[in-house]
Amino acid sequence: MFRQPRSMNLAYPGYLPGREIERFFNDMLGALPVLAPLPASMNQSRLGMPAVNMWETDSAVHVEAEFPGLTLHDVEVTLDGSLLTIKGARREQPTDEKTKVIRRERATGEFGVSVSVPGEVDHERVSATLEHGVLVVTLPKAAATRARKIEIKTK
Amino acid sequence: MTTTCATNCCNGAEARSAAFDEAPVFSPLADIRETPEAYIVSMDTPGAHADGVSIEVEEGVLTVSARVAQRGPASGEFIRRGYRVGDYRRSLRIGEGVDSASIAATLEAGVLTITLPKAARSRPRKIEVAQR
Repeated sequence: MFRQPRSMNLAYPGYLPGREIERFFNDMLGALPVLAPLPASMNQSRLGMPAVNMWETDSAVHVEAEFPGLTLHDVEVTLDGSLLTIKGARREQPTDEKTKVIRRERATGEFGVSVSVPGEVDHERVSATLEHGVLVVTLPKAAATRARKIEIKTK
Repeated sequence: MTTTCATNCCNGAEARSAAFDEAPVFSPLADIRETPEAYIVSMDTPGAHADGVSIEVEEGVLTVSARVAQRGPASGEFIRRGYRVGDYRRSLRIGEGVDSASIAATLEAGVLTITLPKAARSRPRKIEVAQR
């Protein structure tokens, strides 16, 4: 459905917890030689088809994905019936001839993912925010499917 | 997750991510660029806020850690769970070519950019000759 990003050849074992010293940095920044050749690609980028979290509250369904470095202009969110599609692209950082790329792990290129949202959604009131690199799409439930909760207030 | 921890969290004091249900600690993906003046490290740290980030240099190792607040359902029940939310931590060795006193960092849209200025290359070196 979507093209794979161009720079998929990432030499990185993925997100590993608790590594104290970066094993790949057997070389040093600021010492010579600067970097040893990168090992062959070990895993796929997370960007091509972004991972999505989805959960619901009484009033809405929330869909979340991580897009560090992007703004809402870079991401397109569409809702077709109950199918929510998030797509966009992360561009490569512009560079000049004085700048040398010595390591590239962060994927660039196009991405896209579709998820089926359960229940009836109020299409008019769907909203999205992208803050601190986290996209949150809020899909308020249509009145009919919303759980009724009667608040009893005491004074 | 547990097997990965078994091989990577053996540093005694720092083995806090070993418990299965605790928030994980991720090693953020990084790009490194070199300009004539500096090394520039960009790390993906979605969800991190500047006040939760610490950058330390000790004995030639730059360590970045970022605390990230949990996000998601209060009940803990997801309809779909494609990833976990956790803190970030990554260490890089830096050589003497970096002026570690002048390291600066900014955090924007979940990307942490660390600028490591190069030390003055022209610093004269005096080599002592031992008399025997």
